[in-house]
Amino acid sequence: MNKTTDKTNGDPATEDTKRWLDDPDNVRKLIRWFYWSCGLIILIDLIFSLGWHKHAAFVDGAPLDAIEVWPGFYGLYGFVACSVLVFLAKALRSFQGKPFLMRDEDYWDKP
Amino acid sequence: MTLASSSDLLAHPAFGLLFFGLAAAVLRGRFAAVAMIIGPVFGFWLVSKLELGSSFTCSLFGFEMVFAKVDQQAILFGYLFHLAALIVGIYSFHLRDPWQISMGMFYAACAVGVAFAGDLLSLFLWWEGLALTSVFQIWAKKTQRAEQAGFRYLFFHVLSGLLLLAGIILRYHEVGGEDAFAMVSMTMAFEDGDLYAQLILFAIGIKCAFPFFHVWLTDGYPEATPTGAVFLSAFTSKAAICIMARLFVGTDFLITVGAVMAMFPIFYAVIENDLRRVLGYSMINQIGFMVVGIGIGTPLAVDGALAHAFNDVLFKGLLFMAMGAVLYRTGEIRGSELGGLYRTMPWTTGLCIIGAASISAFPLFSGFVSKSIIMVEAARGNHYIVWLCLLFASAGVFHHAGIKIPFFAFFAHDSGRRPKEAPLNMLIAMGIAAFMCLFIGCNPQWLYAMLPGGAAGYHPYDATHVITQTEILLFSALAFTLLNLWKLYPPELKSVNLDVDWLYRKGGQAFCTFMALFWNALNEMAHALFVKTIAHRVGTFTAHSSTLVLRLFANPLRALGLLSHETDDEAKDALGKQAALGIHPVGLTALFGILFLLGLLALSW
Repeated sequence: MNKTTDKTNGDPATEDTKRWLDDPDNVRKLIRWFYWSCGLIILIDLIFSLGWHKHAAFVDGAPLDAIEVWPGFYGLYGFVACSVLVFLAKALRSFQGKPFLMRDEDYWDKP
Repeated sequence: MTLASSSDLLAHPAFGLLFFGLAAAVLRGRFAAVAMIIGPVFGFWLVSKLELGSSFTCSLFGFEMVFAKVDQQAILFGYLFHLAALIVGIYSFHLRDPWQISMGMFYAACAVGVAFAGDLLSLFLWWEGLALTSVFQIWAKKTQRAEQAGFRYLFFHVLSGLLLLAGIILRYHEVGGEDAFAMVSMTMAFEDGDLYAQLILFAIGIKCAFPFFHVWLTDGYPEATPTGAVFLSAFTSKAAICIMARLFVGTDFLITVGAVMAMFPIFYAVIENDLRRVLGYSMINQIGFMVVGIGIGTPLAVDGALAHAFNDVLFKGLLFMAMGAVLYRTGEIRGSELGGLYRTMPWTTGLCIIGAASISAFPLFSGFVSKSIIMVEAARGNHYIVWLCLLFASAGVFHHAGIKIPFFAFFAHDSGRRPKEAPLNMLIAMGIAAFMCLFIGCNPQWLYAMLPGGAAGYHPYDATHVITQTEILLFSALAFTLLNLWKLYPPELKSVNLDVDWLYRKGGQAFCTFMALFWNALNEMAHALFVKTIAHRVGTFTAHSSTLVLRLFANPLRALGLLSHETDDEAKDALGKQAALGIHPVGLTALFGILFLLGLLALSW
């Protein structure tokens, strides 16, 4: 829920009033809190999986039943999914230096 | 045309929006804007007065048409569309364009009409209305680009209407009788391969932005006015989802289609520069979840799909409103040209983040309480590949709609722009939508109670679910943060990306070029052959043939010394002149006459 943690690259303000986020130190602080919260949720997941019964989404015997209840499965899946998403999307833009889907802004206006 | 009961029709739930839309068309200035607020409120009251199970009929051209049939699902969408119309009305309060205002209200009224439609005939009428009234939100921008995009948008929606009509007519021929136009499940007919069911699903699919037929959305919405995009995002696709949930519950085909819809747009969304187009792609992704829910077809899954449609109108509307405010204040919506706006638009930033958290399905926000139903039902039905796709899409939607939208607009690098905060009416509208997102997220039972199946005993807030959902979102954010810090994240570039519309936009251009080359070449060949060669020769021949015939006879005569011409050329000139003018010496004519008669005499022997 700590969405502000993703506000990296806080450039120095061009105005006189400096915002809290304009200080790179604060941004670094935010990111550090964010790393801690990631660690915390994994810890909670682990404790919950060991101490209580984490009920599976799937019925017994389904192919994913055993994997889905692993502590950290969702975290790992989210991280891998987003990385794959980004790299595939980059490849869609241009593959091996050749533009694939990306075109100039005036592409449609050109005859 | 006779109306069964005219007072009945005045109580039709769409009447409030239609009447005040008409009023807004006649009124000007602030009065029209006020009509835009009163209309939805009045309509809301009309919906609340409806009794479950009642219906409005009228006979038209000898057909008994059920203009409205009141059931729980219709009431849910009736409230939703009026709420959306009210929010957009407040958001557009500064507008002074009567076309945009009145057409916007007619558009909302048509969506209400679709939700309440009691049979296929009235559905078709409202369906067409939806197409025709919505395009004005794009055309209202009054640029050539918007005009062209509007026509492309209209093409798809007119196609959808025609397919629906074709399906209805086929069904009338096949089923016949009382049931022909009834709104009953067509799942069996579809799976048996009946053409009418396929056509009707295709018609609904176009409005739901099925893959390959989704480009009207990502092409049209970003070209609309700042307020128009909010209008468009609220009604068309949700009305189509409402009808799909009436006619095609449990169609297996929809599970696959929905999973594809949830997956492919997120790749586009990551590399798209126009932030409203990013929202367009993310909209297809969300509709994908609903289509999967309807495809699974259990009462709980359909409830999940309907609940998600309800929430999507609110959070997607909120995001479109935030981006509309940015566009309104800066005149710019490309991510590469924006950034750092949080300094001067803090309220818009905060409200946008609430919308982003809702669409990402953070616990306590509205997306969480509806998307999870569909996920759980996908798992329970053992659709594990689909479930993995949806989980991927959940992570992806947080990535592009949850983080990318607020990050590149309001944070990221400082663009140096210092626009004013959004106008008060926009902030109020966004505030209402944000409040609803939080309210539903914290009180899911309020929404569940309105669902047809009441979400039968589903509890979103159990420990496993909260922990796993938070975990997947935090780690998606971690991927974004790390990739950004390592400079691996694709930067926002001034660019456009090719989509299916390339086929008809460039293909159409190529087609025109080919046609021009081919037919013009054929035309020129035909001109050269027929006009210049054959016609010319025939003309020359007919002009000179008499001279030729004359010479044929005159030359032997001249050789005998009977003619006065000295040379051949002289004879030719003289005879040519005589032939052209149609005058010949009497003696010569008489001579030919005698020769001709002698010839006949000889033949008669």
